[in-house]
Amino acid sequence: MAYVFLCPELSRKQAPLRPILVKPEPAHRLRLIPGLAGTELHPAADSEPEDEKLVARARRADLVAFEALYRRHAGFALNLAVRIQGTATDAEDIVHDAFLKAHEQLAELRDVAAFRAWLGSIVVRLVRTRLRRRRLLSSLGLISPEPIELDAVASPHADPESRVLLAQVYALLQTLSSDDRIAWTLRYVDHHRLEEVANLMTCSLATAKRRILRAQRYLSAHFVPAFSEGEP
Amino acid sequence: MSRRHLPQISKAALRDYGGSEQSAAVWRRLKVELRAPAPLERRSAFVWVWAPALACVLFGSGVVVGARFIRPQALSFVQAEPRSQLAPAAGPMTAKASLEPEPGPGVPQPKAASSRGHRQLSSVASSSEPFNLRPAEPSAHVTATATPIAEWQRLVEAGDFAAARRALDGQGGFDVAMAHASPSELMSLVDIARASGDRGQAISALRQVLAHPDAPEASLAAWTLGNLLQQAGDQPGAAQAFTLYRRLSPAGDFAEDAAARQVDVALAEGNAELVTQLVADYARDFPQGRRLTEFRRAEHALLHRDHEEAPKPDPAHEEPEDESDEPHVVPSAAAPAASDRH
Repeated sequence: MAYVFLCPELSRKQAPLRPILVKPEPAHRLRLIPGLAGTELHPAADSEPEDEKLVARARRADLVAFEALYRRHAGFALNLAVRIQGTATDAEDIVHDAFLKAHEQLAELRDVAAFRAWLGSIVVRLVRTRLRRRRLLSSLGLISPEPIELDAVASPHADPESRVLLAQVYALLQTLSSDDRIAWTLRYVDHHRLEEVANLMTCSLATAKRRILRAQRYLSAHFVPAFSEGEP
Repeated sequence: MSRRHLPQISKAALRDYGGSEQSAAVWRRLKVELRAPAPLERRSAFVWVWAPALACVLFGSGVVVGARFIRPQALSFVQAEPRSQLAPAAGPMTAKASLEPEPGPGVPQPKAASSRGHRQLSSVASSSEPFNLRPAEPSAHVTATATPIAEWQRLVEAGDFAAARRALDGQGGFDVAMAHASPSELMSLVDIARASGDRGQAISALRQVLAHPDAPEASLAAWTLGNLLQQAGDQPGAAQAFTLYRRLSPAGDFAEDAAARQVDVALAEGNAELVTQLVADYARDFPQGRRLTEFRRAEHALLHRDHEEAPKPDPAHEEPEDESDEPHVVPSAAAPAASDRH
């Protein structure tokens, strides 16, 4: 298996330390691909008006338009919730609550084109709240730590190496703080750009970078490759 | 160990939930909840625009209805006088009271007397005074005291005037009870009528009390009647009632107030002659009266105003007799003085 560097921009030693003067791009300025069933918030302009129209109609209590928005972004929200948590437990509830909150606060969305990023930030906030609550209850001995559901995260068609990799990475992520865990997951599991990570976590770009770097250092220090290079 | 060993997680290795059964299940739940509440924009528009307007309309309607159709009700728990020491009205107490000497005008009377005590003291004064009212019928008085206490009377004693009114209505009504009531019972009926806001019935009952001038309640009835008539705008009737009170109880608790009310009524009518007479009476009976200075100023102002408003003789229509050097006679105030001299 050919290993590659995960974070070339963080491998530059000076990058995380130098002051970040660039403000995080607001969510309402992100250009999204609403129709994409995948997980990224890719800049695009071809399908943007459609999201705008749907949001505008949904603001006028058009349930059909909101359903179209849901169909378009539900996969993204579910992927986000499951991948951050490492389990499908409560993922449906989180997505349900996120869309309900989005529907209630739809009038507050300034740029309707940023619906996907806005929805993602709601999902991330809900997941973070749940992770923190479970961690607190677990530290108090009230509940047992939540196990990782590898089948919920890994594709059924994933090769064994990838499954082993995911299992080990998620086991390490469980020991990190919620913010570091979320930042790293968004960056290297869900493959979002740094600016998108900052927006999804509602923090500055510098904070997002710092969290990712902290998690990256920890994972790099504790990760043990299951298959050595050249090994079949 | 370095981060060089951390491999990349490919997208293909991750499960994709797009179009999954989970998302369909979530939408089924979500659809039910989204259909229930009103849209946020419309709801907030209703809250900020229509709700204040609706509140204003409701408030205005309440004010209009209250002003036109609801009469002020007396509070049932507010009583001018304690009623716990009430005793049978007729017979021995009246006789006992009549034996006691009446205190003079300068002798202060105890202010903390109960209603019954006050009515007894008033009866002392009334027993020796002549009355212009028709005499009482003793049969009704005695008959009423001999009958057992009715339900409405018990409720009045308990202070529940609303329930007393209902009981009274169930026993034939106010007028039936008033026809056969003793002065004491009439005063209870007056309380019920006042509590229920029926001023007319209260006045009728008070007039019926005054038909028994020897009753201990007569002076209090006269005072109360004067107050009610004054509130009703019947100033002459109020003045007459206050005059009657002063005759029934010249040294009563409200004697000074009654005299002052008489002056007030005369001042309101602008009757300078009557004002002069009543102020003189007030100054004589109550030389340290609280409103004496005020009345003298008002009297002076009234006389001065009348003097200024007196019609000046028109030189074109003056009769030859008026051309003499005699000063013009000031009407109203000066006229009685001149007639007195003759």
